[in-house]
Amino acid sequence: MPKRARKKVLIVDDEQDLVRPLALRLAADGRYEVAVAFDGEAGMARALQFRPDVALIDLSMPRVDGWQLCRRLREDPRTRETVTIIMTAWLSPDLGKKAVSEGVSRLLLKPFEEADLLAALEAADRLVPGL
Amino acid sequence: MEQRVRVLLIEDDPDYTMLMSVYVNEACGESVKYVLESVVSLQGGLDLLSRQEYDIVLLDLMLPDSRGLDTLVKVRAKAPSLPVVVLTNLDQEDMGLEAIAHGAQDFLPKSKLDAGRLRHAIGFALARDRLFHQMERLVEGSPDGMVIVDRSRMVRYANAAALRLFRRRWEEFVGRLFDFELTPGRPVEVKLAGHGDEELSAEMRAGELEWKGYPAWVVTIRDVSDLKKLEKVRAEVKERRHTDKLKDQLLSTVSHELRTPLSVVKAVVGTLRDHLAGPLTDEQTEMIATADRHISRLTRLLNNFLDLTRLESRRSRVRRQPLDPLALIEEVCQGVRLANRGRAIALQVELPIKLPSVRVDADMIAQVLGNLLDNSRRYARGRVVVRAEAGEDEVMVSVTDDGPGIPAERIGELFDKFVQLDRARGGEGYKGTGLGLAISREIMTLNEGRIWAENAPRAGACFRFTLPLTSKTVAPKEDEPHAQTRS
Repeated sequence: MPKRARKKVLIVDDEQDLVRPLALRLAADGRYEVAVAFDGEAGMARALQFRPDVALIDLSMPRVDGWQLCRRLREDPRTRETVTIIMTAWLSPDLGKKAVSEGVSRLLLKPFEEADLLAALEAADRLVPGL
Repeated sequence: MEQRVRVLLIEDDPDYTMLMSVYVNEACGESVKYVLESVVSLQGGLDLLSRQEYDIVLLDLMLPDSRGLDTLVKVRAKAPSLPVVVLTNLDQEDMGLEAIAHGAQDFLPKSKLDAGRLRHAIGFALARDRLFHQMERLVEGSPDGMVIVDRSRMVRYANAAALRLFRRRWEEFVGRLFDFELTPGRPVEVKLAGHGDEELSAEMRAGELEWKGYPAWVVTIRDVSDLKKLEKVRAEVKERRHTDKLKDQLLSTVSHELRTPLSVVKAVVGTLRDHLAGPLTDEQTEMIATADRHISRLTRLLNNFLDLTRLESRRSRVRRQPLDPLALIEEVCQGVRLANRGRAIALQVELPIKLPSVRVDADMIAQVLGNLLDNSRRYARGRVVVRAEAGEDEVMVSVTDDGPGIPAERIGELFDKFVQLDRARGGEGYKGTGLGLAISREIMTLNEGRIWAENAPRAGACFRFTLPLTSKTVAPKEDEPHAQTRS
């Protein structure tokens, strides 16, 4: 039996039209408890309340972008253990390297398959907290 | 080798002619022999000159039928390339100098003449003549046109190349006005008509010189048409590269920008398809399935494009390792068989029992074979055959279909981007992206293999690619890490 019945997932993307169906799918799955935010600033505030296990973060957002949000989550002791997954439509050459240096656990290239999203969330569980 | 010099003496004084023949005999040596012929009138001399060949003329200017420089002018007109030495009296030094100005090679005062001087004069005249002809040959033989233009812009001389470039004969050109602007020092490009369909590009330069005592221009004309063509091709290539780069950038931007809205549509349609937003009627389910298929098609196109861009820019890391080609081919074919279940097209795999190890990137080669199988399945009537055989340096894999084949004139462009031949039978709502073969070609280049297409002997198309043997390749020092891969 897992410690918690449902994994807490925070979705942060300024593309609200994408957030809605993603949230709907994860909520319907039954294994996840979902919260959403539509920019990096709100994402951080929501994370402090919600304390997510996983944050699904879009890269290009106004004001506080995905990288900055990842850094803030990592630097705050209250959210340090949140596993971060980056979603992006832009695959730049140094993206992988950057992701590793920012402590991001996975990258999802938009558009992604539902199966890939679920696999990424599943794998996020196995990350040792505090690593 | 004895040199024989034929001398024509035109002299009306018989005593002097006699004396001259004595000197000429005395002048003969071991290496040079002079043969003298003489006439007493200009007319007689001109007659002989038109009948026989001579090496030099000794000319008295005071003859019964011609007096003064006019005599020289007439001889020169008859035999322009023959050296002439003028014989003068003691008080005629000025005339001698003037004769040189009119084309005589030298002058000899009769009273000072002896065998030695005669030999000197003849030898000197011949040498000067040779030198002069050498200069003339140099100018006439020059591949660049040379024109002398005087200060009144009249053409005074033109070499053969100039006449050829200006498409004129001597008499149509020399003595006429030179009708080009002259800018000394700076090269000017001129267009010369009359050379077939195209105008000829020439580079013209003018320099100052003195011509027969007057200031003039020497104009050189060089045919630079080939250079110009080369320059034009270079400029076109540069322009094309630039356009290609812009096009690639544009396509890259557009394809990336399409990804975000496509991800929204995909997520929304997926939500509907999986009944997450409520139940669907059969008709709605069918329509959603159609939308989903086309979302997949669009996604495939964008992913293919991304692959190709990365391959072309050499950003893809190639992880080549020794592997058994049989296992790789079997695995890909098995995947296709599963996906192909229930379709009319049969996949036939004819492999030898054993194949040597090849050094390639397994994922990349699987993608190539997958592309070819996918391609062939869309064109085949009933069957696709996969074969493999070992060669000396490589393993060759072929994928043959029994479709309509490839029009011969289009085989060459098959591996270019966005090329789709209309031989497609299409169907099943599945269309190719036009990038599969271009991707395959890039992958094969990175793996040091080749890929090409041909028509099968009976019918259908046959695609072949080669995998280099492990024993024939040099192992890399270390495998480079994989770049972030697409999901």
